[in-house]
Amino acid sequence: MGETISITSAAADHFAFPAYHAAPTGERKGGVIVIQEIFGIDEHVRRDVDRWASLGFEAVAPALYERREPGFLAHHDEAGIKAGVGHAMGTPREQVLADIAACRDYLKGRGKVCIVGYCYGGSYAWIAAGEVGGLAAASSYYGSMVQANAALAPMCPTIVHLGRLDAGIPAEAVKEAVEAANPSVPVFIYEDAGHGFNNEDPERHAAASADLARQRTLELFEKA
Amino acid sequence: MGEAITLTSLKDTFSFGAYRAPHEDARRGGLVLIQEIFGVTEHIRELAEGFAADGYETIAPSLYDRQHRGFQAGYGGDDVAAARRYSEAAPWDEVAADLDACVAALKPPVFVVGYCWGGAATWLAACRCEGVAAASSFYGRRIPELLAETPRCPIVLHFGRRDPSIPPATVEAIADRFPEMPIYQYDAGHGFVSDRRADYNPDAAKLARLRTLQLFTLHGGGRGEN
Repeated sequence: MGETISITSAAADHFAFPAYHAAPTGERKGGVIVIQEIFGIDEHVRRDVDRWASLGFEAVAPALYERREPGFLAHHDEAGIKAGVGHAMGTPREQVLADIAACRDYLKGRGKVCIVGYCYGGSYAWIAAGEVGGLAAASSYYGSMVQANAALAPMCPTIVHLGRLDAGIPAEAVKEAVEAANPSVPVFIYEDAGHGFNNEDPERHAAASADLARQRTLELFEKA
Repeated sequence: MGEAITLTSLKDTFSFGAYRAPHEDARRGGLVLIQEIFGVTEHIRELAEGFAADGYETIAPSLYDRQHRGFQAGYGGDDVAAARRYSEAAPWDEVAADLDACVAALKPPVFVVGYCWGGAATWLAACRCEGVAAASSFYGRRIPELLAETPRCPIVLHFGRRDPSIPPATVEAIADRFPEMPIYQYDAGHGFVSDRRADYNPDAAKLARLRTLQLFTLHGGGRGEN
């Protein structure tokens, strides 16, 4: 089980944001930054942080909407999506990348730093791979803004996971766009999976795909 | 007085600037005010302050920021050529996503008003953006490009009869496709709301502004309720 810590942003405002943190079980393999969905640092994100810790990584999930709404949490319903999308649109890209850089700096003294993100965080894991230096590997899950940023060149080994049944993200088109600009980046499409398939919300979860994607991510992070 | 804010597109995470004028007195609603081709100029900021004085929390986004951050043109020469180039080069998809971010930044009810290039972008917002209560579009020359799309909220259109860039056939084509839509025509040229332009027509500007405020009031902008 983890705990909430405070990290000071690399952004000009030096804002101190909370982050959910979990120490690694057993021998420390490295650090993992976990980037949230639009719903805040909810039970799913915390469970993911705890799981990366149980796999041997010191994991940390920054609360990216903290400046706008301290402690923001939203349900997977219409109102929750609206609130989360509103915060996403009100949170500047440069600020998110500066918060990610601060998490990297928090972890980097103790070994390599990898990044994984889901949904909103999947977009930012991809963008961070291209724009935030000092990361060892990146794994991007179903980010709706990856396609528009496909031409960014990742500075570290990066993999992308997409669900074939994702109504909002055209998996094949994203794969083509990423591979056209970055032929060395593996883009995996999971046939039985929709948006948010790693999330344990029963309406989203696709267990077999989630396990396979996590195994691929784990191997990437272990090798990095 | 207003302030500079930053908003983020959920199409590509691009962060762009906007001018925000807080509502004075009781809040009638939120308003997205869309620039002419010239950028978020002093004139646009004054228009925003004007609606703020009427009770609307107003956001005027800098929609050319991907091409030229903070661009503001004068009204002559090279600046106009650059302004025209930026407006032609801004894809409607990107503009719509930027406008989504503006609408999401405002508490409902949210209205949209826009002028010149922004008149067409107002049409775009009415067709594509979630959560727009009503829209008022001023002399949007490029509406025909978007005529296959249908506004999802009440919208009124304003045109100058003597606007050389918008011939009567253009207005007729819109009226043919949407016979119920209020289309107001004024004895004026292009850009008649702007006191910075030769075609400024204060009477037409006043009447069109009144019609705009009436539309907003009719669709949720009652004083003191929001």
